[in-house]
Amino acid sequence: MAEADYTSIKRIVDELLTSERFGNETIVRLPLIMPDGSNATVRVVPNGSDVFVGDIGLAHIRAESLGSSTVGFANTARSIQERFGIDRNKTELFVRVPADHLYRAICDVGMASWQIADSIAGRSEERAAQEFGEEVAERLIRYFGQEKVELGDAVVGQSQTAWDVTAIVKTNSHRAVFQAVTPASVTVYKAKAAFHDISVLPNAPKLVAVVKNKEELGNKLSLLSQEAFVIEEEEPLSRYLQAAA
Amino acid sequence: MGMGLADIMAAEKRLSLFPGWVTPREENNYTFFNAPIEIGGVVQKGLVLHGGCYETRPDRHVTFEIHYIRTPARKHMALMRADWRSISGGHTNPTPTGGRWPAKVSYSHLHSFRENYLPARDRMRKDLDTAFDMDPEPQSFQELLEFTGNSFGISNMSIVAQPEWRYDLLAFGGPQDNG
Repeated sequence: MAEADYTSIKRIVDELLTSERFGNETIVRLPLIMPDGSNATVRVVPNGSDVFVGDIGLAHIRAESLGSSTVGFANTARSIQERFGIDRNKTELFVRVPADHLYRAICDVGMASWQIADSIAGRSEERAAQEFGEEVAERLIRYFGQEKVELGDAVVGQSQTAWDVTAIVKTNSHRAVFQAVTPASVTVYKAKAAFHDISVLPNAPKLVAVVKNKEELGNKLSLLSQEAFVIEEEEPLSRYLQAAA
Repeated sequence: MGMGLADIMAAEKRLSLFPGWVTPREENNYTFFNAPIEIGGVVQKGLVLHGGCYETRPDRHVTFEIHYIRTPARKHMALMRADWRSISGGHTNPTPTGGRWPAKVSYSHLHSFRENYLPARDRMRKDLDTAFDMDPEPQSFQELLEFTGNSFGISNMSIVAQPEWRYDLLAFGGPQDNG
């Protein structure tokens, strides 16, 4: 591994912002990493005393790659572009500003493009979490029987917050809360907050986090295990019974 | 039980046809195609090769990607992507957990299936966020087709026609406000 000294740090800093000229247009790459690992990128096209700054439709291309429709892209883009005060045609975010506003325009268009792509990628994670929750719910019904599994219910924690949980399983004498958890940070932290809030209730139910693979969680596994049992989805019935008991 | 993602990528694949590049978008000259993919002579449900580039940026920013819709009514997911001479520059990999991935790779890179597949969940990493340099880097569109065919396991990539790149509009390809 290379030793970090001022020269090596400066070299990386100089790489953070790069540009390239194509005819009358300048491509500017910003130090904002899109969900796919590329840089947020804008084009700058001069027009007299004004400049056009656009994202070349790159946020839209990322959205398409993530399976988002043009309508889905537009819905996400609307609020973000309003926040930055920029325009949009079908696929490209842009502004036209006097040339002395170019600095801010490049930052705003780049930032908006990044936020839209990041937001759509985040929802893709939510969708994955939802699908996993459905898989876990199906397994709980298979293992415990429909009559013992309550789906779609919320559990009110000590803070009076109602937490949506994957399922509540009623055993002979008590209840066990099962929560499907994917490795995405937002999902883990939400489950962690819910588990903590529920665990401090008098007569708190048993808490069980169901994950696809414990190793994938890394250090976040111990965050969950502070309040909950953690089992892998494909464990046999006996392990589920043990966790719920 | 249908094919898992790894089975799809391991199988020898063919494009059923090349539908042609669509009329470029008015606002930024972006053009693309979606070609159905077949395995063992059967056109696979929800499996396509997507290609995209800008008509006015010859020999730059060409993307090929395999899209798959696993469950009807769900959105597609990308299984693998080749980015050639991206105008966004190089690609930055996530902070490595095992130190396996280079921090930054060049503007021609491959988001391979293997590096972005999560076998325990039969899912892909978010937006195929891990990539490696194309090696060797294709020097022409034809070489890119060959590279992509070999990497994606598609035996007849050569039926994809070169985009009708416009070399004359680059300096004056002004942006459009409406579309």
